[in-house]
Amino acid sequence: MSNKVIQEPKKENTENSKPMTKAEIFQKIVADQQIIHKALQNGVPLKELEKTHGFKFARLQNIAD
Amino acid sequence: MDSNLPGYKTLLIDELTYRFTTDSNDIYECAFVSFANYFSAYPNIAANFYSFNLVLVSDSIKHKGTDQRIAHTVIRIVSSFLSSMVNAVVYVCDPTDGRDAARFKKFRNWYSYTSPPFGKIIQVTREVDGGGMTLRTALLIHEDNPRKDEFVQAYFQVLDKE
Repeated sequence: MSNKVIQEPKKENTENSKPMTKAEIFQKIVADQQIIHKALQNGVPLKELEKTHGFKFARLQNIAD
Repeated sequence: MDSNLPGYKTLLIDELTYRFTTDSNDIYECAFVSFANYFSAYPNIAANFYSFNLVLVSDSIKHKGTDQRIAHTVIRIVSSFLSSMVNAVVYVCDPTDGRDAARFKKFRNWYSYTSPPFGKIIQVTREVDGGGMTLRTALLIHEDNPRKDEFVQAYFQVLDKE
């Protein structure tokens, strides 16, 4: 797995802009999911995506066996 | 589904990502990304909506049969995440490869589990057309989450908006 960083423009914070339509929501969900999947497949740490795309990932804990 | 079957050992590879390796040496990674932006109309619970992402990160090799230990591992990961009874998880099937219907059916069946670790999970599913696609989604929430009705209502309202 390479550590190639996927270079795409940082997304704007949409919290204060006008509400997205359903079509916009669906397209963004799918597009964001593909960015995350490609990053994991390319060995890009998700912390990089937080910086480059503004994603916020949950902080996880070890799961007891 | 046999609840006694063990899942695969799950490693926390950084604080954002779990990884597990199957007997066939397939490597999966998963993470939960915030969906708060989509639920900003519900400020009491928006920050507790997450999307679950499960990705095969090793080369894809077709294996015969079904590895039920993958299902058990994923259920363990998701139910652990929900056991705080604070968060809800939205699963969205990627429609871009044309295999989302089969993948969604498999995912739904995983939650037919009668006694998952960390308590019972409620699953609500929705298939909705929009943006030139059919999006197959599921909301997963711990049955003892005190805000489960709010989560379910918000989930339906966002998916059903015009």
